[in-house]
Formats: sequence, C-alpha cells, structure tokens
Amino acid sequence: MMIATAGQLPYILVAIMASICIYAALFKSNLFKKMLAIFLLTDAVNLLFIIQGYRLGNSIPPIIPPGMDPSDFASIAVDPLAHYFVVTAVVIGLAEVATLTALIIYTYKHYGTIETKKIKELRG
Amino acid sequence: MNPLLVQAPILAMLLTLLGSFLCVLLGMFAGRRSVELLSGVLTAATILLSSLALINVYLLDGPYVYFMGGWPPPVGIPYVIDRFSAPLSLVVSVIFFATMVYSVRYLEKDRDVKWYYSLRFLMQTGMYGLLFTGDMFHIFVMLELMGLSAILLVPFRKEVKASVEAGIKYGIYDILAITIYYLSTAMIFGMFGSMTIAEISAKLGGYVSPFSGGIFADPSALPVIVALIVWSFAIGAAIVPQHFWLPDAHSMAPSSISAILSGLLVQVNIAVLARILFDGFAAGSLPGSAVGLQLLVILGIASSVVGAAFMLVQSDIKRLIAYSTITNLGLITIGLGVGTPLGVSAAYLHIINHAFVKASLFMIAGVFIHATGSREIGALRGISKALPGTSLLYTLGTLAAIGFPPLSMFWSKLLLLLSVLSAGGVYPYLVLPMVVSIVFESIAQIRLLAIIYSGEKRAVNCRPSLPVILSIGIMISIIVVTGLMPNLLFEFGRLAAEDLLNVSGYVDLVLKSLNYTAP
Repeated sequence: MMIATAGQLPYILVAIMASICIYAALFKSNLFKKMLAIFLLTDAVNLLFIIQGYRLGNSIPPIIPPGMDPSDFASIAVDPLAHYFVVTAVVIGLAEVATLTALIIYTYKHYGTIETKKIKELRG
Repeated sequence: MNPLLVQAPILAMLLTLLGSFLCVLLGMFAGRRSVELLSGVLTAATILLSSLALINVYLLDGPYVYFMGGWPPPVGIPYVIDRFSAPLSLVVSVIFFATMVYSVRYLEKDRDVKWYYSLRFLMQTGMYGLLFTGDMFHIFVMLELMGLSAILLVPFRKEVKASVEAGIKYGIYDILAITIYYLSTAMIFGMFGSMTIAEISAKLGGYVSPFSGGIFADPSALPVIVALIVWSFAIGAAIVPQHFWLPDAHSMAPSSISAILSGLLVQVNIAVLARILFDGFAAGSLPGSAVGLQLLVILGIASSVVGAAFMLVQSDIKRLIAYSTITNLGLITIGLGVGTPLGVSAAYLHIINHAFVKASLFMIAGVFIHATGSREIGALRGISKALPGTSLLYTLGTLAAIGFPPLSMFWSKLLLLLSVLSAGGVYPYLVLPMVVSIVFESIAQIRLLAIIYSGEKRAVNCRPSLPVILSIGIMISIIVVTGLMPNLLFEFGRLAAEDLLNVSGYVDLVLKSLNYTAP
C-alpha cells in the first residue's frame, strides 16, 4: 500500500476539492450552488499555485536579505511568481462573482426560482 | 522597422481598451449620438491599424515578436504577430466595424447603449489579446475579458425572459470552462515552471532555461494537461457534447452580438487552441500531446453531424443559423485534428470564410425579425417580395454557407475534404460523415430559402435603413470577392499553416533575446 508523504498531502486535497467542484458545477440544479462550485474550483487552483511555489523546510519570504548570495537565496526563497498568478485570478474572480450574481438575480426576477430544472423557456 | 508599423496591433488593442472606458464616460455626460460617433471612429481606426500590421507582416518585416512593456520572455508577455494571427485580427476588426455600423440603427429603441458599446470594445480587446499572445496565463486573462463581456451582452435586453436564461446558461458554462483552463495553467506551471508557450515547446525538446530550468515533473502527466485544455476550449467553442449553450446564447442575443459571437468568438477559441496544441505542445510530433489532435477529430465529426441534424428540425431562424455554426466548427476542428499542412490551412480558411458568412447571416436575420416581428421561419413567407434587396443578400449569404461555387466557403469546404482524403490511415473514411453533414446543412438552408421565396407579398413593420444594408453589403461583397480569388485565399491559408506548424521557427522567434539555441 502506498502512503502519501507530507509534501503530497496538499496536492491530494486540491485533487479532491477540484473533483467535487467540477461534479457540483455540472450536476447540481441550483444556480447558486453551481456558482459556488465554480468559485471553489478557482480557490482549489489558487491553492495548487501556492503549494507549488512553497518550499518545504526552512523557507524565507521572497525578499533578498542584504549580503546573501543570489543563488543561495533562490534555492530557499518562496516563488513569488505563483503569488502573482493567484492575485490576478482573485481580482478576475471578483468580476466573475459580480457577473454571475447579477445574472442570477435577474433569473430570479423573471422566473421566481433559481432551480435549473424549473427554468425551461429554451429547449434543444 | 518602422515603429508605427511594429506597434500597430498593440495600438489597436489599446484603442479598444481606451474606447471601452471613454464610451461609459461620454455616455454619462453626452448623448448616445456622441457615444456612437466615438465607437465608430475608434473601430474604423482599428481596421486601419490591423491592415497596417497585415501589410507589415506580409510585405515588409515578416513575422515578429512584440515584448509588452519591453520585457522579454519568460519575464514579460510576448505578442507574436505572424501570418497566422495578423489576418485573423483584420477579420476581427472588419466584423466589429460592420456590426458597429449595423447596431446604430438596430438598437435605436434600446436604452443604455453606452454599456453595450463599452462591453463590445472589451470583447474586441480580449480577441486581439487571444490571437496575438504567446503566454498561457495571459490567455486565461484574455479569455475572461472576452468571455465576461460576451456573457453580459447576451442578456443585453434584460427585460426579455428567455435572453436572461440564455445568459445565465452561457455564463455558468463559459466561466466553468475558463476555470478548467485555469486549472490546466496551474499544472503547466508546476510541470514547466514557465508560462511562455515557446518555452514550454523548447523544454519539451530538451531545452534548459537559465531562469526556470528544465521540466520538473514526469512528462507522462502531459496527456492530462492536454485533455484539460481541449476540454475547456471545447466548451468555449461549443464542440459536441458541450454545445448545448450555443444555440440559446447565439439566438437570444441581439443580432449584432449574435454576429460577433457566432462569427468570431468561437473561432477565436479554436485559433487559440490550435496555437497551444501545435506551437506549445508540438502536437504533431509528441505522442503525449497527439491525444489532443485525436480528441479533436472525434469531437469534430460528432459536432458536424449533430449540428447539421438539429438544423433540420428548427423552426426559429436564429437557432437554425446557430446550429449551422456548430456544424461548421466541427468541420474546422476536423481540419485541425488531421494536422497536416493542408488540413490546417483548410481549417484556417474556413475560420475566416465562416466568420464573414455567419456574421452577415445573423445581421440579415436581425433585419427579418425586425420586419416581421417574429422569429418563426413560417413568418418569413413572402418576405422576398416585400424586401427584395435584403432577400437577395440573404440568398448570397446562404449560398456561400452551403458551399455553392464560386462563393468563398466552397473553396474551404473543398480543401477540408481534400485534406481528409490525402491524410492517410483511417482519415479518408471521415469524408462520409463530413459529406452527410454538408448535405443536411444544405437541405435545411435551402428549405429556408424556399420559404423566403414562396407565398404572396406580406406587410412588414419596418424597412431596413441605409447603414444597415450598407454594413451587410460590405460583408456579402467580401464573401463574393474572396470567392472569386481562390488563389489569393489558398496563399493566405498556406502561409498561415506554415507559420503555425513551424514550431522551431516560432520558438526561435520568441526566445531570440535569450540567446536560445535548439538543443
């Protein structure tokens, strides 16, 4: 039997989170739950970026201390590039939340429900 | 190197970004006429700038890379302006200009048009970015820019019940697709340590970057990444079985937006996918990434047949045209999936021809719907006697759509069939489903034409005004003229496929500043 090491645990967490979210986004019938699933999937990916940029053990923030050799610094510093991706994605996620929430509110105004099974104006 | 010529595509993109802010600002303090004037001037300027870029790429400098902010890759974002992306950006500009002229009169009765023009500009920025960019994460950002503005434009007439439903359906699935793409970028980052498409390609060939080293992970994970990318773009490009949102979204949007969604947005998705698969993952040569191409062929056959079959049973004119988009996208993906230079050039030409044909068909459908007040095909009986000019334009567009020689789509469909026949292996048998889908589509389109030309003269609510007819006329004349010059068309397709399939040339071009030499 294979036992995951401590370094692999966050990846397993991401895999479980992403699978649940993709399932929920496709098969839940409540629009709000679909939306939440999509944003949790974004968060799972954000987590994946963060753990890929993290160094286990004695890591330091990505600010070079005075007098340190750059190659030593690069081997123990946390990767700031991953943080850049996450910050960008978080800002974009805000726009997604605003868009989908507005659309869900309008759907509720028109149909009185946010269950996809009961919204059946368009077919085929 | 003339600096204006080099920066022309970037300037076009910045103009549209600027226009999106100015439209809202101007709309708050001045009337709608000034907003329309501003967006008309800016879209005309983007045509000029894209033509300059095209001339520069074809006749003067050749393909080149623009470093955003002066930072070379892998630090900055490279914009690759080559013979694959430059003609497509001109197509984007022309269709945005034509729909701009069209929407001045088309949206006369709608309020708050400043948001409409602003979002249209944002969508245009996203498309330029997607066509030119050479960075995986930048593709994610631009997909959001294009997707979110399209999602908000579909229910622009938010008092219509069905358009809000189409909007939420499109919104959920498009954002899910983009998020799945985001997941694949995270995996690429973990595997390659770099987001530049050219560097990914070089690392697969054994290159060790001075910044980020070689490949970190086991390359056997590559098919998973490729499958995730193909899945996300298959939702974005409405390839069966992820097509269900397209007929709703494209038929319920305002017709000027349907023209852009159906003519450009889905095709831009396919073009980006081609760039990632061929240039990034060298799909033709690596067994791990050839999975993507085989997936594309299978999905393409399913799409072309299913789309054409659904066309036969539609009673709504815009839904019929939307299903025709699914069919043609299937044909395009078959061409790309075959992966030979002939197949890719045929797919490329089909993207361009289909963009003009589908945009003009949707624009004319909008005129018909305004004139009859109904979306049913039955209500179009006798409209050819009431609106003879518009019906003639529609006839030309339809004939082009079913591939009637010598109109433009005949040539690209012919090339697609030839490319499948010459590919070898099991591919020649694919001609059968392709011909079936083309025949089904022709039956559905000709049935619609027969209804338009049958019956007595009927009364119409309104006649199309001159700008509307003019904008449609521009598109139809482009279709006719390009159809009469097949040699020029083939040359464009051949050069585009050459640039797309020349992976080492692409990598050399982008990584020149790093003193890159192939290992």
